[in-house]
Order: sequence, then structure tokens, then C-alpha cells
Amino acid sequence: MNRELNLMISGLSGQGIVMMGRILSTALLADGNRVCIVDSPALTHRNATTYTQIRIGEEVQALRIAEGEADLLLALEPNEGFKVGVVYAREDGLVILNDRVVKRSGTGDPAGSLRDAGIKNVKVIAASDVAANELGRLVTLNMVMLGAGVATEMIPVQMETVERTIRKFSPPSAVDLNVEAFRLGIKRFQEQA
Amino acid sequence: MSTETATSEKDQTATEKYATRTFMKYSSAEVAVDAPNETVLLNGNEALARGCIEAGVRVGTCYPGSPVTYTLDNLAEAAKVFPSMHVEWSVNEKAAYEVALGAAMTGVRAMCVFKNVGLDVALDAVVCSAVDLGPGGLVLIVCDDPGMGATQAEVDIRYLAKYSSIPVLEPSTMQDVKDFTAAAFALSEAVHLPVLVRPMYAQCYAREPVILGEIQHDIRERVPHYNVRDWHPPHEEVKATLHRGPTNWAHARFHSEVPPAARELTKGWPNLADVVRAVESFAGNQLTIKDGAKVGIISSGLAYRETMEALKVLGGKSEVSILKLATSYPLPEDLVRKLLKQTETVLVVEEIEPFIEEQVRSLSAEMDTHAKLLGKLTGDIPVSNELKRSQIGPVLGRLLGRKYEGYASAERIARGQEILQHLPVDPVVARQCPGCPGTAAAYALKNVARQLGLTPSMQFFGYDGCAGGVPIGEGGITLCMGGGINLAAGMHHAGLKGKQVVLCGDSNFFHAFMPGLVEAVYNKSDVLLYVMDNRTTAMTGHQPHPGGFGVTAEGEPTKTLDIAEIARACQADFVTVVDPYDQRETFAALKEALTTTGVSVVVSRRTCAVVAQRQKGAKDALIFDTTSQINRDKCLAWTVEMAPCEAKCPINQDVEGYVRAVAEGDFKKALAIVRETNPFPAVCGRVCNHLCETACKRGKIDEPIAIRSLKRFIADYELVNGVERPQRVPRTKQEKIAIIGAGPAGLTAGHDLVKLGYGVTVFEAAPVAGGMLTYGIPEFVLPQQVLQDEIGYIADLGVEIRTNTALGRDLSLADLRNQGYKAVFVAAGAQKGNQLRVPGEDLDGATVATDFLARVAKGEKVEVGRRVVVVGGGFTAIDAARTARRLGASEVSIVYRRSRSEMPASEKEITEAEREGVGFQFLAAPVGIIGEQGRVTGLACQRMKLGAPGPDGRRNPEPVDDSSFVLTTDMVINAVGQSPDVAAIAAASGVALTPQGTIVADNLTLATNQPGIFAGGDVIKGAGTVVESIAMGHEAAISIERYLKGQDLREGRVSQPPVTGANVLPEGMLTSARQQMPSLLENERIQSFAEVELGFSLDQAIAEAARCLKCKSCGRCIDEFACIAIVAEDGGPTMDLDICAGCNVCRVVCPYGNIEEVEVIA
Repeated sequence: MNRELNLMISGLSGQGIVMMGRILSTALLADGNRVCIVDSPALTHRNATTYTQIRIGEEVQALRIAEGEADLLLALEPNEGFKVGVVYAREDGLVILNDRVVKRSGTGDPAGSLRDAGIKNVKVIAASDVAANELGRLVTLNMVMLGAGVATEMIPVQMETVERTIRKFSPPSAVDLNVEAFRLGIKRFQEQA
Repeated sequence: MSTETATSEKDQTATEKYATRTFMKYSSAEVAVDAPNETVLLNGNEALARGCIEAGVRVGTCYPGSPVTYTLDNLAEAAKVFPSMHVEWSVNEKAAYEVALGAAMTGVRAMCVFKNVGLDVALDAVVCSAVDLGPGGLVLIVCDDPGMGATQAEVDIRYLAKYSSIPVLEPSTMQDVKDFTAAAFALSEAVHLPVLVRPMYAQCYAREPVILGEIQHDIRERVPHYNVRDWHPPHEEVKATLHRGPTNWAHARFHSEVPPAARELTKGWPNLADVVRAVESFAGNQLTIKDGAKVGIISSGLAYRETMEALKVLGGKSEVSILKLATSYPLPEDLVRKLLKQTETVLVVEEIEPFIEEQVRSLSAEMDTHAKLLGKLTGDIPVSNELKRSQIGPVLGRLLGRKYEGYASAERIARGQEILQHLPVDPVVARQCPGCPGTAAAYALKNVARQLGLTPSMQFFGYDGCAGGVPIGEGGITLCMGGGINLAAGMHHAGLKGKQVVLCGDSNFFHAFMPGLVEAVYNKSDVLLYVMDNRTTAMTGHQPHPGGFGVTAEGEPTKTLDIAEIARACQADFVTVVDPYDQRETFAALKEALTTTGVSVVVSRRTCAVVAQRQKGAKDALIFDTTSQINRDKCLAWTVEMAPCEAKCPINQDVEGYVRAVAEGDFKKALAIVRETNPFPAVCGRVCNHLCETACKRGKIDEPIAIRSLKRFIADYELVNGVERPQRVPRTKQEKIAIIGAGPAGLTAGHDLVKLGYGVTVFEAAPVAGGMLTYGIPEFVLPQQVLQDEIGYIADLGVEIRTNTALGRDLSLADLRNQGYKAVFVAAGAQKGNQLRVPGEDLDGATVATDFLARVAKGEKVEVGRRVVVVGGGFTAIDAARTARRLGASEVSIVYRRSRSEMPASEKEITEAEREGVGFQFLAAPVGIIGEQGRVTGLACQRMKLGAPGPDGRRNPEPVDDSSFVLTTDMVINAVGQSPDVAAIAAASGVALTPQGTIVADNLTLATNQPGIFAGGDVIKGAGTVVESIAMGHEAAISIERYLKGQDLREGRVSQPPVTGANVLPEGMLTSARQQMPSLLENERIQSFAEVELGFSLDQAIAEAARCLKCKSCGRCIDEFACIAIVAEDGGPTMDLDICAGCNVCRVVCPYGNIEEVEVIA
């Protein structure tokens, strides 16, 4: 690939952000990318700010994504998504916000506030709805959002590779559910965004 | 007892589930794979472990701490594959280091992992051993944490390494992390020193592709041996030259100062110069000289990568010579010299302290070079936090002569950060996970401390050992692990009163609290050690510890040590184990622990909620299969409109609001809340009849909150600490209003109207404003200065007060109209004392209490005889009697026709009078005043008995036949009530009067029969209370504004009684005594008119305020229990069922039983 891609995933501890990053970076490596990823997990706390930064590209040097460098942000919680996006997203980058609010501290309109802050390309999808209502397990939210991220076609990875990696990392009982969540995420993104 | 015991059989499955720890995110079995040259994605901890495994490490030790300690989890996975390996969670860092050292002394390779603030714990052993190492390689992995992402101190561990003569390696890429760690063992063996690898916090949480190397199985399987002769000089001759033993000898060796006798022994052992040579050839040190480059960079670790990224953005790779340092101590001196010689400016970039920079400076000083050095010492690179390319780039740009531009405009980033700063802080940040046993344990402690009244003086030390610390409240003192119990002992021995509370975690207890516990018992400290035993090292990733599930790092079963048994063996004075989910049990245990003198140990034992949920099979599993919901139809916060105190108060003061502010120590806010509805805080704080206290729900449990005294405290606090004079309210309305009488009713109306923007003049007949507050209440109850300060506050707002000006005497209604006053509020009070209507009232020595008190207030010389009798049962009678005592009367008695309990004066006033020597004649009524030569000599009385209750509920007095008696006295003061004296005003204004002489006014609107003239206060009611007058002042202001605007006076002013929940009482409350008001001693009192009551101290005020039940807002579940799953919404608390872990503790926390079980169907 020609230029590097800086990808961020943000949300709350307990939502499976770290696992998302691990699956995605493993798939990226399998598809021949040079990749580095760094998590900023919340220490112990459930529902505290968590994000993961993935940098893809031959020329990447530093571990972390700098302010204003993220090409793609997948936000599992919209208020957290605003907070991360307003600092890290590129003005011409893409932000995908899950619409279910968990943390109440925010501007009240995360997508609008991001656009006001100069990040024009903000898409909102009902990922929690897919996880909780269509799949019956809110814990699959991370796989739904992973699907949405892959559906953007910005990430240099094959859908099949991601699916294979999901299978590898899922506990046996959850393999099918996770793959289904991933596929529904792709579908929901294509429909909604 | 539902307490979990550490060793019960039911633990078996839990132990197995815990031992597998399938939920670990930062370790994997892949680290032990024998697959050289394969590329795998490793995180920092895996890479560190892999490096050790490839190097053939045999023993690995660690005490859990920062994320880097997950390295040990990875080694533990390897130990399951390689049976000769031993991997352990040690009890603390010192033990960890010593175990690893012991292993290395036998010739095998050993490693030890530390958090940045962990090496200091082992420093004693490190310093002694670092130069005295055996043949096996020993590697220390210590993670530094710039920005304190995971630890509590931003320290630079490299200084400790240098102090201990230990070489330091700093990896940049993940490949470096793995390779340097593996190479560190060989380096250690080559230089006979431990070697320290210093990754960064961010590296532990990063993943990058790493090419695996070979695992050196043969090294791991070395045969351990130990020969004392390898370690100690064999010859007497050598020993004699060593003086201080082997450490001294080895240290001398390191610095090439080995005594001649020992040289033979140290032959082949490197010294510092050899170590420098060894690091010089260390493959990780890479010097890239670019021809003609004037700028040089020396950098290490992650800072190197940020610098390279900045250089990439600047497009300056060909213009800079670069030394990538792998060894920051000692420096590869030749490489540094080479760079310094060939460049003009060298920028040193490293994380945290200028450690490399100082050494480079030192080297450069010895050289004939003019290279200019830039870095942290010159202020070009920040010292704190993780370095970013946005900080390095501009400096590099300056050196290269061009501007550094990042990917995003700095303005946008700044704007974004600005927005973030203004967002409210999410409370979640400082809270524990849902279901956390620590949250429950902390609530029990706070609850019992508050209920026992210990809150103000109790200090909290330490913390529970997890995340941000359990929500115990402000004032926690943390120092280092194990420090709290000794700090508390120090404060106790210094003489600080009260039992101090020390929190500690379970792993914490084993780590460093055991010596402190022994210290406390042996040296007789007075402390409660509250151990939050969640059976795992929760914060750092649920590592096992000696008190947990009886499992080792490698998953092998082992013994479980019971913290309580250890405490008992240490002979603590009180030891018990509680289940914090059982709040009643915990509460009772804490109560006993806090009231036992000496050392108490309470072990709050309950498995970490995260572990419990995982053991149930899923991270969102409910601990008890049910969840809880708040019953909004009953919850006080959702239903109560006014607290009983507020509802009962004639001016509906937000009592709960200001009492809460006092409890929080925010006295300024408290006063602001009082002032919202009351312009007389200091006055009401002294003389209010406090209906609020009669309504207070606490009174049904023990004693009501001392609300009046708290109000006084708030007002006095401002008086003592500097009054902020109010701004004059700008006049926005044309109309002027005249107020007749500067008592509480008139001044309150004036206060309100001025605030609405009207012009207000208050006309006061007397020379001093204040009405009955000035002339009717004695100085020792309400000092004039206090009153006049409050009147001054009202005047400062813009109320004009004209004294010596009476309506009907000095000016007429027409005068007021002519002067432009559009409305009048008559609030002239009731200052005329009623007659006794018995013979002899005209005798010399017979007086009316209001006149008597007014003369004293005006400073007139008032003669009283030796004996004084006061007739009446109200406040005025008490005030007159107490005044007479102060004027010199030695025998003062009060005659009252009913019994003590019927007296309108409060019991407190009666007691105060008694304490000052005032006697009482109850059930006696005057029938005539007896005199001789025109002077009073006695009061003829008749005995009374109590008959049927009258319309007011009080039993009516009836005369007892043939029961006359005479009280000998020099003075009779009549205090049987007051009436308005408004004939002149009525004449001047045309307002109608009742037969009793009060003005006829509408109860609701205070309108008189004359348009635009309103009347309120005692002038319409007869003698009333201060707060009633204030209430009528408010109503008058409302009516007058409506009148001036031509609005309906009545609309919307009658409201339904508010929901108060007055009959809903909390369960399980301990009684706590109301604070006693400090006052002058009896013998001091009658010597002067000094104020008798002295006011609460700050501690008293806070303790008293803490007794408040918060009948309106309640907030126990949100503010005090502080469970993350219960969130505040506008109406009240709301359960977040997505988060709730189903611990059910909130159901007990709600003392009203309004949090109810919800069955969850799977």
C-alpha cells in the first residue's frame, strides 16, 4: 500500500475493544501488512475510557497515533467517540459512531459536535441494537463494529481473513455468534451509513 | 454467616476456574512455541517473556504491579511446557528479587519483573548484590511509566540502576524488546552484573510483529551448583584485606580498586571499563553518520521512534546523524564521542529524566568538541509525560531550518481539547466496578463512621489496593504500600485523638502490612486495619496471592493463608472476618472494631466481582442471578417534594440543602442557600422558634438536627472570616414603595422589593432599626452588633432606612403619596405590653416587660430591687427574668398560671433561666399587686389547676379555692403578651382595625381595606415569631409587585401541602447524640450582657450536619454507596441494568427498602 493508515477504536472498558484490536491487527499481519497497535485500556475499571490505536504502513515509526492523525475511528460509545474523535480524527477522516449512549457526560449530540469541530465525515449506526436485539447478546457489539469498520473498505484486509481470525480468537461456544455479528455489522453499515 | 472462608470445599471449582484464568488479555501460550524465524504478533509482555524463554531462563519472579508484570503470566504459560522452570508470584518485590538472585547464584538464568515503583522495595537487596553476582545471568525488567498511565509516581528507574552499578538496556521496537531481553542474560553473565531492561508502559500494551529466535533449552537445563568457595575469599590473608566483606570487595572490583590480595580471585571479572566495552559492541547501539550532517540525535526507547516519526514528517533523514542507544547506562562512549565530533548540535531525546543527557554532557566536557547539546536540561524537550512528536518535531524543525507541520491544524486540536476541558467529568472515573465488594465495604465504613459521629476527626490511610481506591470520601492519605498503618501509628503516638482507619488490600497485606501490624500491636497503636480481601490481586490483572484461591502462578494448588488468622497470631485486640455484601454484619463488626481500643483488624472478604462473574461463566453474568430496580413510586428522591423541615418552615428554607453544604464543609454555599429565602441568617440562627426542628425526622429516631445552631454557625462563620458586602441591586423599576416599620417583616419586604428592582424606603419610628429584635430581645440572646450587621447587609442592597420617622407622627399618607410612593406596607409590629388587669398596676415598681426590655436595650439605667417577680410564660417573660438577674436582682421568679409543659417558651429557654438562678411558680395567677407608700411590696396570687383543654389544645387553668398567697417582691414585671400600637397609623392611613387593635388584612395577600396599602407581621397577628414576620414580608413583596403590575393578588398562591414523606422512617439507624451548644458558665453569665450561647465549633457543625437524614434528596445509593450502576437522573437515582452485576447490596443500602429485586429470566 502507498500511504499509511491510522485507525482508532474507542469505547468503554468491558466492551471488548482490546479483543477487536487484537483480531484486526492479527488479520492485518496475515494479509501482509506492517502493523503496530497500542491499547490504552482502563485499569481495572469497568466502563471507563478505553481506546486502541492501530498504525498500518511500511514507513510507520512511532507507536502512537498523534492528534489529528486518525483516518478512521470506530466508536463503540458515542460520547467517548466524540471525545477521542475531536482530538484524534483527521478532518478528512471517517468517524463511525455507535448510537447507544452509555456514558452521559458529553455534548448531547456527539455526531453534530464532531461535525462542528471540523470532522465532516461522521456516520452513526445502531450497532448496539444489532448486538442486543438481532443477536440477543450485547457483548457482540465489538464484532458488529468490527464489521462496520471492515465495511468501509478503508482497512487493507480481506473479510475472509478477519472471519478466520475471529474464529481463531473466539471461545468455541461463541464462534458462530461472533462471525454472525461481524457479518451483520458489515450489512448494517452498508444499509445505514 | 454467609462469609466465604478461604479454604472451604465449595472453593474447589472456583479455584479451578480461577487457576485457568482464561480471561487474561495480555498473555498467551504462544510465547513458548519452538518456531524460530516465524513472525508473530507479540505484545510487550509477551516479547519480554519470549526473550527470557529464548535465553533459557529457569526462574522468573514478580510481584504484580504495572502492566509489565503480565510478563510473568506469559512465563507461567511457558513453565507449563518446560517443567524445570519455576515461575512465581512473590509476596513482594524484595522477596521476588532475592529468589531470582538465589537462583542465579547457582548458575542458572533468572529474571525478575518490577513496576517502576517496585525496584525501590527491593533496593536493599539489589544494592548489596548487584556487584556480587554468581555465574548465572540475572535480568531485571523494570517498566517506566512516563505520564503515570498505570502507577502513582513518574520516577526514572535508571538512576537506581546506576546507583546499583547495573547496566540498562532500552528497547525501541518490539523486536528490540524481545532481542534485548534475550541478549541481556548473556551480557549479565559476561559482566558479572545483573542487567536491567527498561521498557515503557506503552510498550506493554502494544503489539508488533516479532521474528522469533531459538529457545536455548540447554541453558535452561543447566545443572545448578553452589560452592561457597566461589563466593568467599578462601585465604585468611585475603579476608584480612577486605575489611568489610565481599560486597566491598566486589564494589572495589567494579571501580578497578581491588585490593592486591584479592586480585587473583577477581581475575577475569570485568570492571566498569570492561562493562563500557561490552555495551560498546552491543548490537542494539546503532550509529548512523550522514555525511555533512551538522545535526545529531541521540535517543532511546519509544522516544527514538517518536523522534524518527518527526524526522520523517520533516523529510530530514539525510540531514541528521543518529545514535540509537540501546544501552543508556553505561553509555557506549566511543559511539557518543564519534557523533559529538562530527556534528555541531546534538539533540538528546529520552523518556522522563535527562539521564542520558547528563552522561553525554559529562563525556563532552572531557572532549575537545564544540557540539552544542540540547535536551531536557536546556528546556527543549519536556521532562514529564510520554514524549510526542508534536513536541520533538518543532525543535528538530528549528535545527533543520524549517517549520514542523503535523497532520492536523494545531488550532483545531486546541479547539477540540478546549471543548473536552469544559465537559463535565464523568463520575465513573473514580468508581469501582459494579458489584465490587470494596464499594460495599467502603459504604459500611462510611455509614458506621457517620453514624458514630467519627467522620470529622477520623483519618483514612492507604487504600483498598484496587484502581482508584474505594469511594471512601475525601482525606485519604496514601504514601506507599504498607505505609498507612505506620503513618497512623505515628499520628497516634504524636497525640492525635481518635481511632484512625487504615485500608489495605489483601495482596497488599502480605506485601507490606504484616510488619506494620506487628509494629502497631507491639507499640500499642490505636488503629483499625480494614482489609479489603477480594481474594485476588484485582487491580493488576487478578494474579493469585497467598490468601487467594490456593493456587500458584503456574496454576498448581498450594496452601491458602488466612489474613484473619495471621492478625490473630499477631495478637491484634479485635479480629473478625465479614462478608461486605452482608451490610448488617459488616456494620456491626466495624462498630465493635471502632470502639475497641488498640489494634482492630476487620477482614472484608468477598471475591472480586469480576472474578465472580467470570467464575459464573461470562463477564456480564449476574452474581446472584437477580438484579435490582429502584421503586420510583416510593424512592424519596423521586417522590418527596419538600423535606419535613422545609415544609414546616414558614419561609420553606432549603434546610437540607444548607445542612448538606455544612456537612461538605462548604459554608459559603450554605449561607447562599439560607440567604435565598432568609435575609436574617444570624438572627434566625439565634432566636428562631425552629419549627423545622420539631418536624425533623431525626427526632423520631433520637434527637432532631440542631438546625438553628447550624444556621447560626453558617452566619457566624462569615462574620468571623470576613463578610462579603453585597453589590447594590440596580434599580430597574420606576415605582417606589414605602414600608412602615424596620422590623423583620418590613425589612424582608424591602429586601425582596429592592431585589426586584423597585425603590424602597423603610420608615422606622424608633432611633434604631430592628423593631422588636432591637428593643425586645436582650443583648445576651441577640447581640445588637449581629443584628445591625444583617440590617446593614439589607441596606447595602439598596434599601433606604429612615429612623425616627413615624407614620401619623412625622409624616402622613399624603406626604408619602406626594413623595411618589406607589404602595405602602405597614409592618409596625406589636410593641405595647398588655395589661394584667389586676389592681395595683400603677404602683411604682410595676412595669411592662416590653418597656422594661426596651429601656435596657436603649442603655437607660434601670433600677431593679433585690426581688423581682415576672408574670407570664413566653419568651419575653424569660428574657425579662434573665435581664433582671443581670441588673442585680438576686431573687427572680416567674409566675405562670399553667404548668411547665404548657409554657410557650421553649424548654431550652426555661432551662437556661433556671441555670441562671431564676425560680418558677407554676400554676399560680396574679390577683393583685400589693404596695406600700406607692411602691410594690408583693404580688398576691392564687393557685391554679389544669382543667379541660381549650381550643388550642392546651388545658385551661382553673382557680383553686382558698389558695391565695403572697410573693414578697420589690418589682413586678408583666409579660403577658403584646399588642400593636397603631392607632396613629390607622388614623393616618384609614386602615381598619380589629377590636383587639390589630390591622385587618387579608390572610393570603396582606391587603388592607385601603388600596395599595398592605399590612403584615405582628401588626396583624399580635405578637408572633421572627420567622412568621419574615414570611409575611415575602408575601407582602409578592402582593405589592402584583399590585403595581395590576395583576391578580390571589392567583396561584394557595398550594397543596407538599409530599414530605414525614412518616417514612429509615431502618437500621444508630442513634447519635445531637451536638450540645457551648455556652458561658453559670457564674459568668449574670456578670454581664455578653452573649450566652457561644456557637458551634467547626467540627461540631460538620458532625451535626452529618446527622441529617436527607429526607428530600436522600442520595444514599448514589452519593454514599457510589455504585457505578446507579446513576443520577434529574428525578432521582436510576439503575443502569446494562452495568449492574447483581450484587444486591443496594437493596440493603436503601434504608427505606425502595430498591427491589428483579428476577432475570435467562
